[in-house]
Amino acid sequence: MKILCAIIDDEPLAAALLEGYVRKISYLKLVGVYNSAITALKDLRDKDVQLLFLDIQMPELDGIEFAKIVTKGVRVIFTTAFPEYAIEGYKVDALDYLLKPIAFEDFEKSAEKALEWFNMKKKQDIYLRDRFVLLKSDYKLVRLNLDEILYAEGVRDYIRFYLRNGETLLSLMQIKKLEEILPPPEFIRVHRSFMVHLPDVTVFEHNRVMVGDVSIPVSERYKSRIQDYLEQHTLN
Amino acid sequence: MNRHIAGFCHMALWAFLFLSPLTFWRGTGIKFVQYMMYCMQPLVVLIVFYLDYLYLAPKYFVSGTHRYYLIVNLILLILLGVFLHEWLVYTNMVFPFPNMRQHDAIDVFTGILYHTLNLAVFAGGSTALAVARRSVNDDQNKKELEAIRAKAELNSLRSQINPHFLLNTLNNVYALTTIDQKRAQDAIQQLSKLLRHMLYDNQEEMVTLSSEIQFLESYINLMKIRLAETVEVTFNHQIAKPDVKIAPHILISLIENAFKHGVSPSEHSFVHIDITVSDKELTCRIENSNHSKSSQDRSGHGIGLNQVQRRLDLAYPNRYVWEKGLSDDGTLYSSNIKIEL
Repeated sequence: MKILCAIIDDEPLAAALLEGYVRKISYLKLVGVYNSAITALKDLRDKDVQLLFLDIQMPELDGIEFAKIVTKGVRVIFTTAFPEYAIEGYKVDALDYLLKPIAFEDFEKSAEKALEWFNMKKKQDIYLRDRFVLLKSDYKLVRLNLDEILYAEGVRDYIRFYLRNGETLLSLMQIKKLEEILPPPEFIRVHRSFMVHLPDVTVFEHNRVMVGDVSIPVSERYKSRIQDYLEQHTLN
Repeated sequence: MNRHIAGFCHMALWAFLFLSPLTFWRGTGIKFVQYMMYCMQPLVVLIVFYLDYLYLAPKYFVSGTHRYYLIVNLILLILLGVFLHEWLVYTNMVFPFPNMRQHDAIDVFTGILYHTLNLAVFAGGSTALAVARRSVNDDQNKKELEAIRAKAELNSLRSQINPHFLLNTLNNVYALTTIDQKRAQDAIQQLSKLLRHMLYDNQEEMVTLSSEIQFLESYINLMKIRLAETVEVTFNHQIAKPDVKIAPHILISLIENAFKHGVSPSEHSFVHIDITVSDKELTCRIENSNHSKSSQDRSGHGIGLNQVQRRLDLAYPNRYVWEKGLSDDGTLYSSNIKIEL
């Protein structure tokens, strides 16, 4: 798998340096180098691109604004000399943040982060398309249909899946890992040890949700995640 | 100087108060012992004067606690009034009322009142003097502070190096080291020239024209590294007298401004700089393409154009002409400056 990437930096040398770095990394494929954000915007519209190395301080259009415009599937790694933009950068959901001058080692780490993300994304897409995952349970590899899951509870190093037919399935896995596999908004983490299948939630309360007649706690920390869902769907 | 005059005034006052009886001493039959006893009166005045002048007025009156000042003075003056009255009665120099009946209550009262009021005049005078002296000192301090502040402002105007410029340049040089080592070496040399000028020459009030031109050259060369090759940058200079002195870092601000607004990565851009120096006059013409929207700070210097005006006013009052503005179609910005040397 190759990640299609582009470099956008108004300073030719900065762009040239990154270009050299990209060519050294086997899983990155360069589709364009741009010194002008405006040109990049026009040109990239017709190209497949997954990852941008994006400078923040540019004339015409700054990197933060640029990141807001690009399509959702495109991930951004900001490159800038000024850490004061980091917070704003993370607000637009940047994958990473490289502070200039950028050493190859740092660049490589960022690229690996991107690779991990795209690999995970690819798996996630397959799980969602085929609506099942395979997971180890009791030394066997068992098939778990996503539509079967009502909710999942983390118990120490294990996760117990509660299924629609009343059965449960125990598998050795961290809930954090599960969170990466089962994507929102269909599956949402509501508590340190709980994930729920949102379409099966029938009642939302202040600090718990009901799945069937089972009450699942909602902790403060994860409340914001269902907040959006509630706001979008609440009738009155 | 002022201090000496003030000291002399004090001496004169006391000399007058202590010695004036001696001027009509002859023929009055007053003895020296009596004169010495008379001296108790100016002595008490002296004590009251300096007590107020040096202690009570600065501590209580000036600081605003007038109540304490009044109470302390009132008690002090009445006690001293009583003392003086008793002293004069005791020494039989009943003054100022020689006919005073010693045990008449009203006479005693008026005697004490006389001395108290007499002392009060001095206490009031000394307080007024203390307040006046203080306000004169305050004025002087204020003037000194202002002078120091103006100097500091000038220094900071001269010496600001924009950290963004420095960091951006270093990042570009870093990139150059992997791409073209020869150019990277050149760039480092330019940067070190620029820094030397900023850190050392810059501390002088005036620098030689040749050093300033070299500084501008370093700056322009470093800017060029950061720009695409499509950007046209020219720098011409004709210097008749390279040793003439000028105030540093006035022109740099104008050039920075040209780079700041004149360079666009997607459109045709140019920056043209011409500097001519004759015997008496420096002329600098800067023209650049105008691209209004620019978020990037290309400044090598923290100084904006309004501060340039201030610098010019400080260094060349009424000896410069500065014309600047956009062309009618808005595509060209020019800034022309003439300075009488």
